Amino acid sequence: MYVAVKGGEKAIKNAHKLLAEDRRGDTDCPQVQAQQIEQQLSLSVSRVMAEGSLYDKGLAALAIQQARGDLIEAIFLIRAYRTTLPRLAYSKPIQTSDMQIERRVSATFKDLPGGQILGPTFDYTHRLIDFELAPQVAESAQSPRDETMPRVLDNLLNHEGLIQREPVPDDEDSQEVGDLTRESLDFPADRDIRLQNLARGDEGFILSLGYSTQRGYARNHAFVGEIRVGAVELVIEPEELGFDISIGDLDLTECETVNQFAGSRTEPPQFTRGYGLTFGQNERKTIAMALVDRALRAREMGENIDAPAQDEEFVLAHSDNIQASGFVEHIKLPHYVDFQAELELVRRMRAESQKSDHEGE
Amino acid sequence: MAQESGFSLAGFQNPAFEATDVFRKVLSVMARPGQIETVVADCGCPDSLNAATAASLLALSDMETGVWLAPEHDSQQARDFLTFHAGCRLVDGVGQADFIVASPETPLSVLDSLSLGDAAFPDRSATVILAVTQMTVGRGVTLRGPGIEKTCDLFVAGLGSDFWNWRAQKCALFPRGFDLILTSGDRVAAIPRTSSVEV
Repeated sequence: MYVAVKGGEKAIKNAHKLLAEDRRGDTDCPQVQAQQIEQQLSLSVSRVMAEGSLYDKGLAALAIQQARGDLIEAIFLIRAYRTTLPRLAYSKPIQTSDMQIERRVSATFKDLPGGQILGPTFDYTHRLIDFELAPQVAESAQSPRDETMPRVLDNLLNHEGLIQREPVPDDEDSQEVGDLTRESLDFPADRDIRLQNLARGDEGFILSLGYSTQRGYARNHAFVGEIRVGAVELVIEPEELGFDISIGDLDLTECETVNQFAGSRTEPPQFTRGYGLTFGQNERKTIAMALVDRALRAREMGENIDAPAQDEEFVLAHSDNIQASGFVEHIKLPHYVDFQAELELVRRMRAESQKSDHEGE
Repeated sequence: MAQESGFSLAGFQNPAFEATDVFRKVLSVMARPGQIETVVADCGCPDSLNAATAASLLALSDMETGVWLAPEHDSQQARDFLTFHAGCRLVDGVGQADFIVASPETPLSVLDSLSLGDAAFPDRSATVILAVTQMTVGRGVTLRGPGIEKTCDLFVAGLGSDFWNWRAQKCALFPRGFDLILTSGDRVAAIPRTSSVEV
């Protein structure tokens, strides 16, 4: 007989104590400070801010420390905290064209105005573990950049009319932008909702889906038109004041991909776009996001929908790692009564099938 | 002396605790239809609202909620108070409102376009805050439904069978419908859409 187990307050308390001990590790080793995580594990911080949908580096660092480096757990902490925050204002749209560039590359044009700015990238490293890393102090390699940096897609490709114009409705300014954190996901989802979902979505999930589009599941061969990493100004305009106030800078990564499009009855053959944007520095996520964004535009482009990455219900409903880990991991919590019911059922079915076997003899 | 502006009324002194306290009171009366609670909040009260309505709106509304004030509750002081302390939007149409502030004098024809939510999202309906001159537990209408053990009698001044029939009609398409908060002075009661009201 399967008997219900009584969970104990004491057992839970002890579990928390063990968690705190394991988090601290060997006490002979100095404790890491959240500020060190913020400064030295900045790409983890970027990911937690992006998927937690909250731009606060210090808080993200603290969450990473509390979660013992489990980034999804840290994202969970940030999401939970985020729900307690009141909304004070809506900012004006950020202008990534005016970004203070830290890194900017294009895979489509070698000699582009403003130049290829490599910035801090792993791209040309040899992926050899550097045993000398610890004592090293990097010298600043920053060089001042004052040249304006035109956008590859809007200013260069669009100049020739080779890239599809983004369909901007006439009443764009008066249309509200959808918000998944306020209204639950509904299908069909428009691009504003899809992009918000992808920006908050799990990096691993978006990466694999993006990869699938390159391997043929959606036939969208993409080039990276431009990636830019840097800071943009965040501006609000309080209604009662009527003028702009800059409330700070956001570090962002933006990626625009260029994809082929054979044309339709109304459109000549041209390139189309995919778009990716995240908090902090995260090129892998933004490239993958742009690939999936383009795949999800199949409906509007009149393309066949036959690959997982084009199926918006499949993609959008499964991209959130907090929802996913909640549902996947909840099955380890007590299901004694559910299981009891299944046990009863299987026993009864076995008894019935044995009985009918006997009768058949 | 010139009238005090709504900006200078205090608002919650300690918003986290006071808003939670008021929220708890409203939640509690919503869970026990027909019960009356007293809202104690030192948030100031604009000239055209009673204390419980003012405190409830500060606790429940924010920049994402639309509030509609019936003409008898509309004043510059109330508008300044709500936009300054709650940051809510004051809407012109009953249909766009998340919270409707009205009284027994408000014609039902004016309230008729209130949002009842839809079948998939009944929570998108409006909540009506009705300010009355008097309400007491006892002879009046009889309430039945979830949160009421058997029946509960509530007397609400100024609400006749017209109003209750109108409400029943709006709540007939359950789960669509609207929830009603009754306020009188600093007292609050509620009749959610799940309650049946016998006149």
